[in-house]
This record gives sequence, structure tokens and C-alpha cells, in this order.
Amino acid sequence: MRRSIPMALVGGIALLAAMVAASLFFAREASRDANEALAAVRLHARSVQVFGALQDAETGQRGYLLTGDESYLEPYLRARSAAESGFLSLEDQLDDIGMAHARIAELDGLVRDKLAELDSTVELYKRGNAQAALAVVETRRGKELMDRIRLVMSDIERLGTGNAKARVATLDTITSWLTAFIAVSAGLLAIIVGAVLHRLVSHAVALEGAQEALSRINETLEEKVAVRTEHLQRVNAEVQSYAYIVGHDLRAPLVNIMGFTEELDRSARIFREWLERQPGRDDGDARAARLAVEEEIPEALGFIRSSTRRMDLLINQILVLARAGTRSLHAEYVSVGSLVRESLDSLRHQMQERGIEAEISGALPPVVTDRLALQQILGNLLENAVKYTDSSRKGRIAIRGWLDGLAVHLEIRDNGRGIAEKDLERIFELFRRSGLQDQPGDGVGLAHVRALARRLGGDVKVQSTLGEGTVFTVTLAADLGREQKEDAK
Amino acid sequence: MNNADAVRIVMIEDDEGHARLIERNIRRAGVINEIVPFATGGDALAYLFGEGEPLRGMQLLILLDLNLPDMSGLDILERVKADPVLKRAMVIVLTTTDDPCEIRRSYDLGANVYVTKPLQYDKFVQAIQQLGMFVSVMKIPEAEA
Repeated sequence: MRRSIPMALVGGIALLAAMVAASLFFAREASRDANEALAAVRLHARSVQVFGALQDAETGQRGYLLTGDESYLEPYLRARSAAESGFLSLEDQLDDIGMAHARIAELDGLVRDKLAELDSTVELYKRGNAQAALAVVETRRGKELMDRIRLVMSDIERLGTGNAKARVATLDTITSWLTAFIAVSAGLLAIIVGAVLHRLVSHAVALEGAQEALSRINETLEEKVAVRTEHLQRVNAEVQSYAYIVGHDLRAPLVNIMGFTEELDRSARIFREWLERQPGRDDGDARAARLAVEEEIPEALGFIRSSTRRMDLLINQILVLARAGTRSLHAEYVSVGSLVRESLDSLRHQMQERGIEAEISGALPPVVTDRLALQQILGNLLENAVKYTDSSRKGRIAIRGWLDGLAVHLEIRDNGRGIAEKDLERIFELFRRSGLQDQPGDGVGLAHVRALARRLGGDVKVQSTLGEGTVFTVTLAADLGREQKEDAK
Repeated sequence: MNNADAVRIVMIEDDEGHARLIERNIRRAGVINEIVPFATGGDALAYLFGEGEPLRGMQLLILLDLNLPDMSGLDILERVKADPVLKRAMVIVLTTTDDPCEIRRSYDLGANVYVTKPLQYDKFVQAIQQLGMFVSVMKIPEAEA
């Protein structure tokens, strides 16, 4: 489609060029043929004229011989010289129209003889020998010569006319050919132009259609994005309201459990104190009652208390996550290098205790992002790297970062205990932990890291080999301010 | 102490257990003022803005839970503080969350104190008993027309 139009244009130009060349060729041929036809006609006219001059000379001669009147001599001489020079000039052209040389020579001879005959009679008469002159005429030799010349003249006429006819016929043929050629070329050109126009029009129509389709797709795409965004916002709002419900409504019964546990404790204490004031009783009932108030009840209350505390802690963590999701982010220039060093400084004590070394390789790329969120991400990941070491080797943490288009990648690599492959996704879930549970933690850190990284326009990925080490790679939008502006559009 | 005696405590709390714990601890703190409990926002508003109950001349302390079944305690707070008479009432917001937004909103609307219901019972008792002491020493302007 794209190539056919230039090809058609090239073809059309070639056809036009051929038309022009052919027209030039035919025109030259036609003009040559026309000239030749004209020359043939002219030659004929001239031969008639020359023959007329010869007849005039003969007429003058006869007049002079019959009357002796000198006035006939003057036209005789004029016609005679015109005929002589006329025939001479005629002879060259006769060759051109294809008259045989022998025939030309014959004409030449005939004309000479005729002129000689005329001259001789006029000369004899001038000398007073009129009888001799008339005797020459009477020989009928002059008439015979004239008849033979006339024969040659008719040959000339036939040749000239034939030539002219042939030329005109050729001209006719050439013109027909030219007409036919032009007609065919014009037809071809029309077809080419038509095809090109058709192509262009259908191309334009197709283009328009494609454009329409594209804009329709764009529109539906925008619609889809808007719908999706709305959906996400709804989901987010739902999550927030869940978090609120968790915060309020799960806590309310907890407050009761805790409160009435203490009330129970208080009542049990009163009972215990009363029992203590009854030292005399030492029967089975009294021992059972003492066991209940001194051991069983406090133990039960202890379990209730620790469980409610744990529950409260979990609820608080959910609330922290939920609030992190709604906190408005503030995009600012953040030096990742100094943020990493700050985080490492706060872990300095644990690192020294465990003999861990951390190394930042090269310069870390600066980002425009929310400082607090990035601080929490880095703090969590570095803390994990410090916490989950492998005691069989010296702990090492390597931090590097690079800019990749509109994203910044930060990599935290440790040679710690690693994470089993089946747990690689699970560790990002809330309240989930993996591996040996020998370190304090509540399974919130990585869930938080993932939520934050996603809010910062990126994500967090993990690669790990159990027993060898773990690599966390955090991706962030290099310029969160721009992302937010684009989102706001 | 006359002032304290005249203070009527309006407790708006939907959770029976919380209400009971609050009352017990207030009493343990030695506060003997009358406590009028409400389990829904609607009932509390009917009482506060009702035609029948003359609150004129009463000094009010409102203990307000924000998470009520029929409305947000913040709505009640807003109406109370917008009322030319009731706005003089002391409002203590007692709630389960420590959501900074909610705390800020409460103070913006004119809450006098914001108390988080703590899970550590001793802290809860402490908070309530401080409240009791507060009630016994504070001077609340009478709700006059």
C-alpha cells in the first residue's frame, strides 16, 4: 500500500516521458515526410514550368521561322535560356525522387538535342537560309524530341505524385500511430492516476478510520484508567474504613476484656486477702479456694492480659499501616546516601555486637520522594539485614543504587540466613514471618515496606537463597512530585 | 464543693462494659455526682436539647464516646459547642483510638479534654480517677440561658 503509490507515480512519469519521446520522434518523421511530399509536388510543378519554357521556346522558334519577324526571337531566347537552366537544376532533384540515372541522362540528352535543333533552325534562318531551316523542321525530328521529352515529363509527374502519395500515406500512418499511442498512453495515465487517486482516497479513509479507532481506544483507555483508578480508590477507602473499624470496634471489646480482667483481679485479691485472714481453716475446700485465688486465677488472668496486649499490639500495627496508607506524601529532594548512613548509625550498636560490616558502594542516586517513607523503608530493610544473620560467617551488608530512566533502584544485599523459596512472597504479608523465630518482631515490617514502596511509585522485590543471603531491591519513582502531578491530571 | 455537687455528668457511651468501668472508677475516685448514661447519640441529643428536661442552671460534664452506633460523637460535640447555652459544658472525649486526625478534630470542635481509653487498666483507672479529681475541683460555669 505504502509502496504502490510511488511505484505508480514512477510508472506514470515513465509513460509520460515515453509519450513525449514518441511524440517528438513521430513529429520529426511527420515533418520529414511532409517536407518530402512537398518537395515532390514542387518538383512536379517545376518540371511542368520548365517543360512550359521549352514549349515557349519552340513556339518562339516556329513564329520566327514562319514570319521572319525578329520580335519572336526575343521570347524565344528568354524561354530557351529558362528551359536550359531549368532542366539543369531539375536534373539534381530528379535523382532525389528516385529517377533512374539513365533516364536522367536521356532527358539531358533529349533537352540538349532539342535545344540544338531549335538553335540550328534559328541560325539557318538568320543566315537567310529559310528553306534549310524549314527542311529541318520538316524532318519532324523536333516533334519527336518533344514527344520523348513529354514522355519523360510524364514519368517525372508519375514519380513525383507517387512519392508525394507515399509520403502522405506514411504521414497518415504516423499520425494514426501517434494518435493511437497518445490515446493508449492517456488511457494508461488515466488508469494510473485513477488508481493512485483511489489508493490515496482509500488510504486517507483508512487513515481517518484508524485515527478514529485510535482516539476511540484512547477514550476507552482513559475511561478504563479512570474506572480502574476509581476502583482502586474505592478499595483503598474500603481498606481505610476497615482499618478504622479494626481500630475502633476491635478495640472496644478489648477494653472491656482488659478492664473486667482487672476488675476480676481486684475481686480475686479481695477474696485472697479475706482467705488469708482465715488461717484456722485448712480443710480441702479451703486449700482448693487458696489454690484458685493464689495460682489458678492469677495464671488465667495473666494469659488473658498477655493475649489482650498482643492483640492490642497487632491492632496498633494495622492502624500504623492504615495511616501510612493515608498520610499525604511530601515530595522533596532526598539524599539517599545520607539516609542510609543515618539508618546504619541507628543500628550501629547491634552491628558492633554481631560484628556486621556494611558498605555503600559508589554514590547512591538522589531522589525526589517522601523522606519519612523512604526512611522507614530503608530502616526496616537494614534492620532485617542486621537481625537475620548467619552466625557461621561474618555478617556483611552491601548497599548500592542506580538510576534507570524514571525509576531509582536501591539494593540491600546481605549474607545472612536467607529465606526459603516458598516464603518469598509470604514475608510481605501482614503478621507473617519465616524461618527460625529467634528474633523479636511482629511480622509487620516488610508489609509496611511494600505498602510504602508502592505508594512511592515503585515496589520491593526479594531474591534469596536459604543459607546464603538475601537481596532486597526497592524501586521508587525518581521524582515523586512529577508522578503526583501526572496522577492529578 | 458546692460547685462540684451541682455538676451533673452526662455519659454518652454505647458500650455497656465501658460505661460500667467508667462509672465504677469514677465512683472509686470518690465522685458522687449524678451520672446520666446514654447508649445512643439520639437519646443523648434528645436529653440535651429536649424540651422537657430543664438543664437551665445545671453544670454539665459530658463524657463522650466518639464511636456511637447511630452517629459520630463528633456530631454531638459540634452541636453542643454550637449551642449558646450548652457550649459552656465541659466535654471530655473518651474513645478507643488515638487517631491524630480524630484528636485534632475533637479539639477543633471545642472538646476540653481528649482521653484515649487505654488497654493498660492501671492507666485507664488513672485517667478516670484524674477525671474524678478534676470533676471535684473544677468550676464549670452554670448553663444559663
